[in-house]
Amino acid sequence: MSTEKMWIEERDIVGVKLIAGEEAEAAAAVISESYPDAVIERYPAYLSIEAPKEVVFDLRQISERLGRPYDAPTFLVIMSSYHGRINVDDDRITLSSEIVRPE
Amino acid sequence: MARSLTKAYERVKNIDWEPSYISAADKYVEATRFYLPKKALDPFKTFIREYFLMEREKESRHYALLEAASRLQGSNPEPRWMEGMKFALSNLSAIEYSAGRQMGRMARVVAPMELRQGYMMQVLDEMRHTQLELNALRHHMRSWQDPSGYDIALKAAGNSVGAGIFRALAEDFSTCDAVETSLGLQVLIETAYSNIFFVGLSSAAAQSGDQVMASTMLTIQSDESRHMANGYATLMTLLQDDRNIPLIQEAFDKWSWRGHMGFEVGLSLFADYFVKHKTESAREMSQRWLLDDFYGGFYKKLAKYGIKEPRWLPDVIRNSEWASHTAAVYLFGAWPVFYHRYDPIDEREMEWFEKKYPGWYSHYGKFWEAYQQMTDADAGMLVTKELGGLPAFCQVCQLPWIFPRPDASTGSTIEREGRTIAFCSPACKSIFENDPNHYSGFKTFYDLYDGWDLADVIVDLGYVREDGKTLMAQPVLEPRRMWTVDDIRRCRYEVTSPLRKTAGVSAGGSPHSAVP
Ligand SMILES: [Fe+2]
Ligand SMILES: [Fe+2]
Repeated sequence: MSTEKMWIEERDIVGVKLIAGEEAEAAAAVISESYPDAVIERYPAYLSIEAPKEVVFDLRQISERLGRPYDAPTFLVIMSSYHGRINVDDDRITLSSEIVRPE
Repeated sequence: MARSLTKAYERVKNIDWEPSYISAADKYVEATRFYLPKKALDPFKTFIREYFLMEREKESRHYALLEAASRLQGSNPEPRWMEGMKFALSNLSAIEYSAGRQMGRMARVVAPMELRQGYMMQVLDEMRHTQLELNALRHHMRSWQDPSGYDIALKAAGNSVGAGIFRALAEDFSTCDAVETSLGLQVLIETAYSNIFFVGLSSAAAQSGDQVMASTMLTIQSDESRHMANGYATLMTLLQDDRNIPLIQEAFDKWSWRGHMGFEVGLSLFADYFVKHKTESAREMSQRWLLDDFYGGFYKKLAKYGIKEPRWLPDVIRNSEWASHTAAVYLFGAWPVFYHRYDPIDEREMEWFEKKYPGWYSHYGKFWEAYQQMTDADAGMLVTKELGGLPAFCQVCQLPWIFPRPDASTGSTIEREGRTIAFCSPACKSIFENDPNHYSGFKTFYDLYDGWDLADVIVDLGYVREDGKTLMAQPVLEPRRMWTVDDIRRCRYEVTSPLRKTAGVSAGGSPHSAVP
């Protein structure tokens, strides 16, 4: 890309950057099972998960993987960043690409 | 967790009241020009109790690493990175602290309780970030082979000419309309730019052997997630009232550019010139994090609500092609007025730059050749002087007048109330003219030091080592002999404002002028 001009294109990719470690790996494993289009990349200190349109982190599934209780606040401890619109509920964290204005 | 957060949140939200003993105008202290509806949204639904549990967990994980790192010294961190962190950490901790102040102010001005709640937690987050950075700074000061520079980092954030870029940004955020602060800080800086630094460069920190910084960056950014959501919630709340559209547009026009000059240019410099083992260029990082994720994945989608592309975005994109290299000419060219050791780029890196930024050598090659020739204290040649002295500084962003490229500046000047005022670009000039009083008071380097001998400037700034003579800054990592203030004095360089009209008449008064 180095010789090309920089450009802007509308995109519908959502995702998170997780602090590398056991919990990030568990989340990645859960996501790659339920989202075949998801792209998982490992960097020296963090792990990136991206998927088109929408991705839901099911905390019960992550908890099962880890073999111990796991909840939204604990997931937020390792979630360094996200892109997309986020919604945090008791048992899941949702990222979606659409912007919806509340009425 | 037994009880439902979502349900509890709905219940608690209804416990808000308007006091009878004070009027709304008195309660909210400062007026905003934005229109704020009563109801807002909060995608994180954070309670104070969960907030503290979460932050405690973050802290114990991070400080365990810090503790281990101080016990297990002996990893060999990359000197270029460790020296660069002297400048980076001093500025970062100052920016975070001022962000905390800005959040407190926003919480007083903004009425909807969901937003207020998010801002108040962000006050605490920003204090946490300041402390995390100060602890990283302290750790580095104790573990790194040359602590000089780390020891004066906080003072330097307040008086360094380079730190002026970040002071100008932070002061703008602290004094503009408080709702505008949310759009500029949370939507632009924290959503668009903070990822480049805190996530993107965490890899560089890890590869440079600085695990403490890698962990500091990622744990800070985990709070940033909520800050992005604060910005998004504020924006969505404002979009419910059409009268806000032109006000939002105006804020984005301004902050898209201010964020670029005040924050992204510094990040790009860091990514391209403080990282020895290069993988991704600053420009590639901007494409990925800023243009793809932020503008492509978010901003463009606001078009359906009538929000247009920020006015100066084409200038941002054009500037990004060369921003890091131009900033490097400034940082390296002005090395004696900084407080770290420099590690100039080598042949291998020059090739890498030419590959990543075709044409790089034709624009910047000469500077680097000149720089390499003037690193010896005994030769008594100062690159700062030989290349024509320091340029004028932009009254708005405090960057020098050399952007996008030293050989193609977009700068201009105006006359105002008997003063000549410089701007780096049409964007900064226009931002100034929209609100001149907001920017007039900021003292530039020349307001303080015009007419001074450079040696006296360095002493005045306090950038000398314990012996009172040897400079903190050195133009190479391991000079044959360290530069002292006497070496600088022998170079006879008088700081001269390019905007000075009458020769010999200057604002300052150097204690010992070099010019007889
Ligand atoms: Fe922060
Ligand atoms: Fe400027």
